[in-house]
Amino acid sequence: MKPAPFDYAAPTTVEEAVALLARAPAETRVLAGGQSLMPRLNLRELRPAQLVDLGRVAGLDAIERDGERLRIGAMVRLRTLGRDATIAAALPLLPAAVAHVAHAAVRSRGTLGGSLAHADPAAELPAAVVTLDAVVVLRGAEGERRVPAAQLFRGPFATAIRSGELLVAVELPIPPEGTGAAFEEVARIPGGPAQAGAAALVRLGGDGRVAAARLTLSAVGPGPVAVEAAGELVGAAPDAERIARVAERAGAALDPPQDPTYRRTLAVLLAARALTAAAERARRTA
Amino acid sequence: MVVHLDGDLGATLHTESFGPLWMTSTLVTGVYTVPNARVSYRAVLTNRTPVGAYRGWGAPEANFVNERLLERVARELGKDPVEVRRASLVTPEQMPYERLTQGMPLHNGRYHDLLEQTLAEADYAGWRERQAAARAEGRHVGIGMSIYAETSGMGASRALNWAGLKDGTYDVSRVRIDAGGGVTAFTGICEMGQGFTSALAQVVADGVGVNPEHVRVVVGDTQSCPYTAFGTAASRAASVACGSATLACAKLRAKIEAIAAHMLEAEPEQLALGGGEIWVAAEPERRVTLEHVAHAAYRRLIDLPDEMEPVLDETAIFDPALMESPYGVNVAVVEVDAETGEVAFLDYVLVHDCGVVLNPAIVEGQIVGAVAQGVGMALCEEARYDADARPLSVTFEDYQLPTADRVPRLRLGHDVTPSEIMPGGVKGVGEAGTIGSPSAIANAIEDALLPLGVTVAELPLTPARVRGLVEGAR
Repeated sequence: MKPAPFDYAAPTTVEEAVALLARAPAETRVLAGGQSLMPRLNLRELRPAQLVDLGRVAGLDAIERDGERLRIGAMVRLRTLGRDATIAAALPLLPAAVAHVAHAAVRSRGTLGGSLAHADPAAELPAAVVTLDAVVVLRGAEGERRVPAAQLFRGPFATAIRSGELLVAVELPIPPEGTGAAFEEVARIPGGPAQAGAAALVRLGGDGRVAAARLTLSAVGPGPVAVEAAGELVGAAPDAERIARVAERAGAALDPPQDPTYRRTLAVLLAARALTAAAERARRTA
Repeated sequence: MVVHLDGDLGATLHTESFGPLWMTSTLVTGVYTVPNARVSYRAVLTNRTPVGAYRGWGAPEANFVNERLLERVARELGKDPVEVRRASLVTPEQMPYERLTQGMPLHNGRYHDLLEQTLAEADYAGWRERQAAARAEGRHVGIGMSIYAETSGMGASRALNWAGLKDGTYDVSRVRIDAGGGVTAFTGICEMGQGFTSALAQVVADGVGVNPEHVRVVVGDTQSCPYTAFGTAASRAASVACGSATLACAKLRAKIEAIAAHMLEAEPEQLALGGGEIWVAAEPERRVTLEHVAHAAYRRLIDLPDEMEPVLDETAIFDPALMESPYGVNVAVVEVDAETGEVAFLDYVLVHDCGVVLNPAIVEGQIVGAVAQGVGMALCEEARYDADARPLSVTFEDYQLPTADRVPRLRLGHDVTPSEIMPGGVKGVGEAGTIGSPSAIANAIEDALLPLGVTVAELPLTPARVRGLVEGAR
């Protein structure tokens, strides 16, 4: 199928894009790679009056290090996210997550900002940025505001982005030395939508005990599910028994909307695998 | 053996919904000696989407029943599944072996030989050793097998009319050599992308002694092509349609040889044909071209034997006395992740006998594609409905097809027992790969999870379903 007719705007600056959004916010959709939006347009699930294409906007694809933070522009392609040396060194969770996103062709077009704003509960990057404690930078007619990633996702395909606002960048704190990251996922076919995913970050102290641990699950809730129980790993060695207990607690709190029994089983399994792998990597870097 | 089949045909009763269910009932004893069998079946009309026939036309379902049963028998008796199959396979001495429906016997098969060949090619004994080693490490490796016979080369028009089919299943070919020596074959079979026109060109080329690129094949033109009542289906293009072309070519060849013999002052039986030329076999310098022969047949009749009619244009009809029964053995080796329920292939071997192979690349393509389809049946493809019969599998996101990375790298082996029914010895191969692959994969998955006490009874074995079996067994 082909999409219903729409007006197409291709601004070249963020200011221009925000102005276009402000003109008819309810009827406008932002095109930021189009790997999720275009199929929905083609199926006529969405019929926006206007598309604002960010493909030509200058400055949205920058990757900048600012002290202990990395600022990644909204239009950085997933392919870059998966291959950039700066990102791989500072935030290995991002390439680990990108490895599970669809296929090469989709990763070449899809963008970080597009994935976050789309807020698919099964998507990998929302879970990754929540785990990394990122802050999302939003630009509207009234100026800029920063929203913690954990507060960005409000449900399936719903975010805290207000109408007229544009997601322009993501700021991510770089975890200290001794931190390991892992992203585990199961999908029915490789590159297909996840049935469950788990993003984990584990930091070990010099004594081999866990100094910090974060765990986020995907595809098993209305959005990325941050698991508070991961904090219980802190202060002790990350042994299999403790990890299994945290994973079980993570699963018990879930109410997956589809195939609940199987997805809960997967979530527990993947949580344990991700925490184990992250701890192992932390041990190697420490 | 007592079998009852219930078939959910969806909302309408028609040949392509009821037929496969009937076919399953007739094939349910498989390639095995079953002296006593009782089969009943019931077609159920529901408010689901009407079902249609699928590659194999009821045969994969029948194979699933008998191959799963054998596996259970082996387990109950504490024997290797191979041993149970060796003891049960129909032998050449028992053939033709009538099954539940008269007129579709197992015949011209050397099942035991093919089984032994497959076990050797698959390194069955080696895999059993590797399986034991994997189990010792807590891994779930399984070996599954299935043996099938396809019902191909449809076939036997009168018998099928008696059985209720409202079609003639003979085939007709016309082969014409024009005044310039050009060869054209006209067929009522349509090319569906399976490569039929290439196979037909080869058959005609061999038949009249030219190179295949010299043969023009005309398909899909109702004005110039012969009318064939049944068309492209039921693994009959290479066997029945090419068979009729072989017969037409035999008539043409006799005439070509008679004309050439007359020109070369030799006897027809002294001649050899090839590459568009005809020569005296013992004296190759005595030769004429097909072009020369054709010129005589149309334009220079004084070069023809006395009384011979001009023109090189022959039509032949072929109606096989029986359908063919090509066969094969599948061996699937899988590793199951008991925690996620995911299945990965470690090996897949299929050794088959489809009679004379006209074109190895086409046969390989048919088998590889059909096994990929079997992987879909076994692992992921499923038309799901909710309790009110609303379809849940409406996009390819819900209806999962096997992608290239889920399909095993197939190791294919051949044996050739020429058909005694089809001209040229060809049996057909269109559905062979789909029949035994779902059951072989199901057997492998159950074998992998045997230490956990899992029994497989349903397809597809999606990760969620496999995981459910593991949890149910614990």
